[in-house]
Amino acid sequence: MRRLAAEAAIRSALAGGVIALCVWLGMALACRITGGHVNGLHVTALWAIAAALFYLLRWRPTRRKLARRLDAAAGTKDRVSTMVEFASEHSCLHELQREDAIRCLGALSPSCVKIRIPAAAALACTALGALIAFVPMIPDSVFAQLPGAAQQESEEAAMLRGKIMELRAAVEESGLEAQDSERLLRQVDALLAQLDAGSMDIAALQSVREMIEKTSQAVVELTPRDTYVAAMLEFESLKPLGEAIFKKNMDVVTLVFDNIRYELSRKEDAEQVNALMDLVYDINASLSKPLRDNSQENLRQGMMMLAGGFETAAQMVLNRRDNSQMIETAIEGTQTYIREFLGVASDEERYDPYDEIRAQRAGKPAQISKVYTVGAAAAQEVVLSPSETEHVYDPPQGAGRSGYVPGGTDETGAVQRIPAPKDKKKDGTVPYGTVYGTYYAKYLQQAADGVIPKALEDALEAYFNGI
Amino acid sequence: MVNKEDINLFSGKCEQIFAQIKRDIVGQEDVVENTVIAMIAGGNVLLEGVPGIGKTRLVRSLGRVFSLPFSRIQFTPDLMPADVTGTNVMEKDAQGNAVYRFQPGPIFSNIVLADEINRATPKSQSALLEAMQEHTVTVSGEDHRLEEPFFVLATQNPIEQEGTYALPEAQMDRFMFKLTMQYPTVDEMKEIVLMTQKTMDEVSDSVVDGAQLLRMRETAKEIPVIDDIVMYTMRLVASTQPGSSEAGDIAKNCIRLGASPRAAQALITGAKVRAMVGGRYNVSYEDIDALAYPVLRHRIKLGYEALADRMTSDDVITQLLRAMKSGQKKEKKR
Repeated sequence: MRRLAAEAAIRSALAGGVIALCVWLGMALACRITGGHVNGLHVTALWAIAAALFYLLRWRPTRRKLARRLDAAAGTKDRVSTMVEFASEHSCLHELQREDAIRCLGALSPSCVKIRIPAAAALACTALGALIAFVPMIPDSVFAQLPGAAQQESEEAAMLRGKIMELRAAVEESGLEAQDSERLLRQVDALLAQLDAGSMDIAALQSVREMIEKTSQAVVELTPRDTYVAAMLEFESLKPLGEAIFKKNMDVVTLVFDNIRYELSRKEDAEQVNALMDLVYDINASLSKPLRDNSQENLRQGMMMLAGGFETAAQMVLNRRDNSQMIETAIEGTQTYIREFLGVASDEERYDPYDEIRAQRAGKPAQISKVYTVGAAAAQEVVLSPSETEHVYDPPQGAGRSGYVPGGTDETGAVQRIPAPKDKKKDGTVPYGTVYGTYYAKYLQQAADGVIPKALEDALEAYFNGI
Repeated sequence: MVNKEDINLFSGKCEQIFAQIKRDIVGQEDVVENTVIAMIAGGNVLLEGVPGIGKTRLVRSLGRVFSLPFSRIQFTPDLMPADVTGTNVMEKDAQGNAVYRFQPGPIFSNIVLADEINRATPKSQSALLEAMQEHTVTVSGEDHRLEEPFFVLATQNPIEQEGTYALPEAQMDRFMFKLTMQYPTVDEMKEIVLMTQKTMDEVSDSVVDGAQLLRMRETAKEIPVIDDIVMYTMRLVASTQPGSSEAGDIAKNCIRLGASPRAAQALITGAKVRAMVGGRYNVSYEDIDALAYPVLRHRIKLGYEALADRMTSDDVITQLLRAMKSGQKKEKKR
């Protein structure tokens, strides 16, 4: 029995070995063809164990098979098989048969049961082992000649060639400076020549791919932006400010700065330094972008001032000094630059729509409501923005009627009312500019809190951006 | 239920039987062994061999050893069925009235030698049919039971086919074994000649009587056979049938008519006796393989292709056994 158990173990091991070596060979070939690298030892070991177990469980010899095997090996003329099959019979003849079988088995030496090693499996193991050892020695050209490999390479090369041609077109159309353009075109041509040379291995294709990416990045970096605002929009931290400037909305600019101010005030020490320097890096990066249109120079100067101020403020933190005044100065100064750039009056010089009414009531001629004293546009007559001329319906403020808080209730359970302000217009409207900031701030606050329903987010954003 | 006494009787008597037959028959061990096996198993034997090689002597010797009445029927073309079975004869009883009385024929014996059976007409040959299978004889609508044990040993000459009537398949099938006797070797021939110089008569002693033979038969029936061997036997028999799902190329190409289920019965029964004769209490594949030739050779009708290739039934059986073995090996590997 021990010999048979040993044989079963050897057979299982060989079965596991054959499967595992097949897997290993497959992986080795796949790695060789694709140029990848897989540590197949674990996978192979797992396959070997699984295959050996499966073999043992699925084809483990039954008692009958073992008896048959013993009969065949020992030449007991099916005595053992009969004994096993009729083990439950107890007639005289069966007892005699069992005695006969045991007598026969007793006379046998264990060595007559030869351990039979499946020659085919052993041969397969050896052959597979030799093949695995041979795989690294196969020259690359063999794999290159494989139809699949050739097709793969040609597809890859074609894709890269397409990318290079696109890159070339991008360089030519990007309006780069002649020096940069020539340098990049030379790089692109070199890549193309490398690709045309053919017989490129996997590593060379990878290097071409990387060079294409680098060149593409350089083209993007070196391509001039239309305006400085366009450069600002490329940075996440400057995007809100850039958008507000692009839409010429000073109110939002003010809100953005308020937000910056608020965010900085919440941070201390290293955290504040990091926040300041992040902004500084972004501003400096935006300032370093090449521009086609230099008409926004005063805006750039303002942003330069902001970067300088914030950098100083960061230094002040490191020097254990209070920097709030520096931050305030930098923001105020930058706001002034932006206001000048946008040609918008300062808060003190803002248009007051009631001046006209008050003047009419007082019987005086209406004052000129288009006087700006700050910035480049100060000397010019500027057409009032819609926010200053258009009225919007706002009962609590405009019509002197009481409003209510949606969903709000007072102590008695009644709808919570907002008392009507006194001395207000009777048509219930107010100039748009007087409420826009409040509305927009409320919108931003609610968007940040995530209380705006998903379905309304886009509509509200479009609404405020469209105004 | 078989007891130890029966088993001991079997073992002891077997040795004595062979020892006694050996006193009369020189050589022909296989034929002697298979004939004894058939007798114990209750089957009939068709002995085929050239004249003068001891067919009749073997039967006479068996009759002596088994201490059983022995009769011989020489089959000739003019032999009538009544000459075999017996007939009703008219007699006068004590009152002087004419009555019919059954006069048993030579078949009413325990051991019947049907010598040169193929020389008789099919009508006379068929007189043996009922007796061989059912151990009864029907004459004028009246059944006459033959005494047990009943054993027919027929002989036929493979040459001199002129004026002979080949046995019909139905009758062939009723022979458990067909044994072929070969010429003895020179040494055997010398021994035969020297032995018969003293006396031509059989000298063997009786060692077994009819009752003991029947007990031996019952004992052998109890020998266990494993299911694998039974299935192997069934497949072997089925493989001789060209229309069977087990039939291989050999059966399809070489065999016109295969063996019947009676062959499977004969194989298993014979194998049980052979195992006991061999001192075993179980049937082995070897028993089936050894008996395949005597059991199947007269039950297989060869096709034209085999006849054209001058193949014999034994050649076909060898190929069938080989095919079975290779199939078995494949199954074992699985």
